[in-house]
Parts: sequence; structure tokens; C-alpha cells
Amino acid sequence: MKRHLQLSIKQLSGFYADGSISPRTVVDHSLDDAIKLKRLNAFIRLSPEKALHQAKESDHRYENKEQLGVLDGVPIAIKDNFCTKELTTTCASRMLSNFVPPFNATVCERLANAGAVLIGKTNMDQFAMGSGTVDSIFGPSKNIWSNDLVDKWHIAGGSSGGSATAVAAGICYAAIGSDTGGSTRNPAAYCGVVGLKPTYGLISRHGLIPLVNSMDVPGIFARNVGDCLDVLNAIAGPDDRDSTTIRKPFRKIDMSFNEELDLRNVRIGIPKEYHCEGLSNEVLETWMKVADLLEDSGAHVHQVSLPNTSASIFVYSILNQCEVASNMARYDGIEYGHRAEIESSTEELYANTRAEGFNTVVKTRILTGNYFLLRKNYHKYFEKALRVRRLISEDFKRVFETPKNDENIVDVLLTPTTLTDAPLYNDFVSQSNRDQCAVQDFCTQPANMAGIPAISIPIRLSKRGLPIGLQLMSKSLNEEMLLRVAGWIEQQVEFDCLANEQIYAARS
Amino acid sequence: MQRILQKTRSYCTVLKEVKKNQKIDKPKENKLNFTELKYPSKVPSKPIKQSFPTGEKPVIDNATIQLLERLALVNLESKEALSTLEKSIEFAEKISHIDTTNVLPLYTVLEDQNLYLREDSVTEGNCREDILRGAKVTEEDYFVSPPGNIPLQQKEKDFTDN
Repeated sequence: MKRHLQLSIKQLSGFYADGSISPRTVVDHSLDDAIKLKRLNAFIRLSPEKALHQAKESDHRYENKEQLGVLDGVPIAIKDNFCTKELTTTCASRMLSNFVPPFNATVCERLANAGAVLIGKTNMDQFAMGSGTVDSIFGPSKNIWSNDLVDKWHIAGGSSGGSATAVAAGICYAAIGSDTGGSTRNPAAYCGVVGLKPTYGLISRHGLIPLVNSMDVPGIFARNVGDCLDVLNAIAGPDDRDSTTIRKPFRKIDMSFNEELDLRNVRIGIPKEYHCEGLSNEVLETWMKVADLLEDSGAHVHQVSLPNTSASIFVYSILNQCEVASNMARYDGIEYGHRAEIESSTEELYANTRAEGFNTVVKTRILTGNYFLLRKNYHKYFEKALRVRRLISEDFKRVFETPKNDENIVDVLLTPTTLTDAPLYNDFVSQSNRDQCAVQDFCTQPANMAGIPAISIPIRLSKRGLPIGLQLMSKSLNEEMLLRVAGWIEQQVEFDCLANEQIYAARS
Repeated sequence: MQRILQKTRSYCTVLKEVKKNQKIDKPKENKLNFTELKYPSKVPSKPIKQSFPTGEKPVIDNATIQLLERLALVNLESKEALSTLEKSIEFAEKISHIDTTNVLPLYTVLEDQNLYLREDSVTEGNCREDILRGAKVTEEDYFVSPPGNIPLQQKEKDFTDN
């Protein structure tokens, strides 16, 4: 077992600085591990040459005491829907299997400027449409907590399952995913790592290949809350290249975890509608226990109601498919990406390119979105969904800011992230993608509707030995409070992300 | 390396080498007892039932399929895909009863912020080669497409009930 694995990012860069270990060594180990753990299928493509070059440069900076910050020399991974200059970016789809972007996404640029070392691009559901990382042309990602990686293995969750796996397997210290309806928090919960979906607009989407423009945010995976914050501080803030970033300057969040959080000033809400049908007993028990721990330490814990929550999954489904129909129109085979061998007419070329390039899930969502957007249906579905979206968003505003009558105002909401631990692959794929998402996204997509920040943190293992996570949500731009409470819970539950058999098996 | 071990996060247990025959796949003993609560739980013990009306099953006729395929330039692949389409529409019907009188559509959560407009001047350029490199077929400095203004040839679907 490599000892440096257990360090936090701050500790790691501390050791780089005093010379006990070098970025080159750590990056070497990362690349080795990525190959040893290849059967997890976390990566679509590794970038060893670039990584070793970056590590060498980092080595020099530390030698000259010119390091760029805590992320300098830290191995990270990025989901394959973020454009990386001169590095193929596929969205796990045939449509972009040959796409080499001529530019970097802002997130990638800022990480590189902070000295972070990119190990590779991670696996995902095709165009991020899914919640299992099972719909990738490169095959599914496997959950590292599975007892058996051959027949009876569990899904990693999705759609950012590759990024979650890269962190859970100890290959990288952090990874970037994207989150439209839960695509960061869902795999984080299944793989036993921390997954943060920041406030909409806090992190630039420039270079993130869009799924649902009004909900997409870059997400962060890490093995603890402190590491997650270090990455957030490096990438957040306004960007001239994305007009939907919040223009208020981002002040780096500074929280020393040694400083005890006084829970007596913290109000926690338990939204009752999140206990929906299908919630497993173990997840329910975990949710109750953590609420109890908070209350026992002085926090004010109240039950609250978000009455429009249960409608949210339907609204999400409509808006997702409508925006997909519009977003996917750009793939025609002319300027980039896959092009069919048809020269008879433009429309014929477009149609064949798209027939060959997209999988059934993508195609059906495009068709459904077009149905909702037909002139006769536009008001009935699309506009109606946007109106209900306002009701959902106002529910959150009510509990965070403007309570009615004798209702309680709260700072943070505590809910499950997923309804169960990670399903077996065979059980999961027996359902249609549409049914999978309707169940998997129940607790996560409301935060995307309202644009508020949410985080999933691992709490414990289920009887089957799989991680169970819980979700915290707060009002827009209240990341600091969210991370403080998450950090407090993390200390109480002492979940060890790396204590699983597959990691030992691969490295011993 | 010894120093690294000592400084390791206090809440991260130091991993021991595992002997080959030692199984660690069982959940380790939790220090917290998850079945023991000190206070009456604020989490409801029973699921909150939500009922949504089930509407009529939508029927998508052949003409609609052809229209959608022409608009989307995507083919409806199979009977399963058609049934997914119909189920998605049925799923969407569930919000039709919600009262949204006087509720405005929420297009973006940043509706309080004006969209930023920048000066209309070139900030980045000289990237023609980079951009054209992505295309499979180019001629000189142009993208190439086959002849336009020819309607899409559509085949009849045989998996519908029509």
C-alpha cells in the first residue's frame, strides 16, 4: 500500500514542499495504478506523456520554491465531456470518437494554471445521459466496492462514474465531473467519495459539452471535504467566456477544519417528501442517525416540507429532453465529429451521421424533446414544466429565506442522495434508461432545478459492504456553510474511502 | 515516509497490509450504532405518498413519427424506442393537474442578472487551421457538404400499429 495515498491534498503538497516525496513519484504511481485497475474501466483515455511532463515541471517549481498552490503536482482526472486541448474528447459517444478540441475548457485551464496534473479523461454515460455509467461506447465502469468484478459487480453510478471511480480507487486525489440532475452526487454516493454540485454559475461551463444548459454545472469529486474545497477554490469564479457565470467575484472559502463548528447556530431541515417510496431501510436508518447526531450536538433540527418535490422528476424529464433536442442539433458531421459516408444530400448526410453517431437513449430523448416542442405541445409541456420549475425553486426559497407563518427557517437541508446502495449491473440494465433515471435522480435533481449547491458525503457501508451517502443542500452561494456541516459530519462518521478489498488486491 | 505516517489525517485509519487469506469485504464495525437514536426522529418513518393522476395512454401516429424524424433528423429505431417515447409523454402528463395560474416560467435561475455583453471586437483569432482540423472533409478553407434543398427520403415504419 502506498502511504502517500492517505494524505489530504494539503498534506501532499506540504510533503512536496519539504522534499519528502516528489510530484514525479506520485504521478508515476497514479499512472501505474490506473493501469493495474484497468478492469474498473474508470478511464476512456490516459494522458501519460502530458502527465509526466506536467509532473516534471511541478518538480522544478517545488525545487525553486515557486509552487503555484496546494494543487501543484496533485494528480487529477477529468470527465470526457470537458474539452481538453489536443486531447481527444469523446463524451463516450461514437459521434465524437475522433474529436480533438483546439481549446481547453475553463475548468481544465484553471486546474492546469494551479499546477494540477491531468492523468486522463474518465468514462461516462453517452453525452452524460444516464445514471449508471453503463451507456458508454467504451463499456460500463465497475464499482470498486463490488466483491466480484467478473460476474456480480455493482454499477459505479453516473453519469460521472469514471471520475468517481478514479477517486474511490485512489488513482487520483480529485476529479472533475458534471452534474445536471445528480451526475456527480449519485456516483459519489455509490463509490463512497465526496461529490459537490456547486451553485449554478459559480463555475464556468465554457468547454463543458452541454446537456441541459440551464442546469449543467461542473462537479467536484474528492476523498474528503477539505480536498473538495481546495479544488473549488482553484476553479470557481466569473469567466468572460461563459456569460452564465455569476459575475460577483468569488472570494476563496477559507475554513480551518481544526476550528470546531458550533452547531448551536445551525438550523437543519429534514424535507419530509424525500422519504419516498423505494427508499431502502438502511438509507433511512442512516438518514435518521445523522439527523440525530446533529441534534445531539446542539443543532436545531426541524422537519420541513417542499411540497413540489415529487413533481420535480417529471419537470426535470421534460426540460432535459427539450434542451437535449436543441443542444444535439449541432452534431451534423460537417464541422467536427463523426461523418457518415453519404454524399447524396445535406439532409441525408445529417440524418445518417446522427443515426450512426448516437445511441438509442440519445436518439429517443431528441425525438421526445422535439415532440414536447411541437407548436401544439409547447405550452402544454415545455412552458408548463418551466412554471412548475418556479414552484419547486420557490419551495427552496421559502425554507431558506422567507418562511410562511410559524414555519422554521433552515440553513441546510439533509436528505438521502440515492434511495439504495449501488445496484448490481445485471439488475440495473434490466430497466430502461428512462426508468433508471426516474428512480436514481429523485433526490438529486431538485437542486439543479433551483440552481442551489448540494453535496453528497459517504457515511457508512451497507450490509452488502457498499457505501451509503447522504446529501446536504443549501441556498445559492452558501457553499461555505454546506462544506462546514459536511466536514463536521465527516469527522463524526469516520468513513474510510480507501478501506476496500479491490484496492489491496490491485496494489499488493 | 515514517513522518508521513505520523502526520496522516487522524480520522483516516492507517491501513494495514492484508494477508492473502484475510477477508476485509465485510463491513467493518461501525463505531456509531445506527439503530440507536437519542431523540424522536424528524425523518418521517413512513414514506410520504404522492399520487399523480394517470392520464390516457398517448398514441403517436405514423404522421407524427415522420414529422419528428424530419425535424430531429434522427431515426426512431425500434418498437422499444417508440414505447419509450410514449412512456416519456405519459410521464410528462403527470404535471398537467398542477395549478400554475399566475406563475411565470422559470427559464434560468440567474433571471435577476443581466446577460453580459462584451465589446464587439476580436479577442481571439488566427485559429482557422485549428477549427478546420476537426472536419472530416474540407476544401481549401471551406467545410464541405453535399447538395442542399433535397428533402429527406423517409421509409414507412412497420413496427407501429397503424
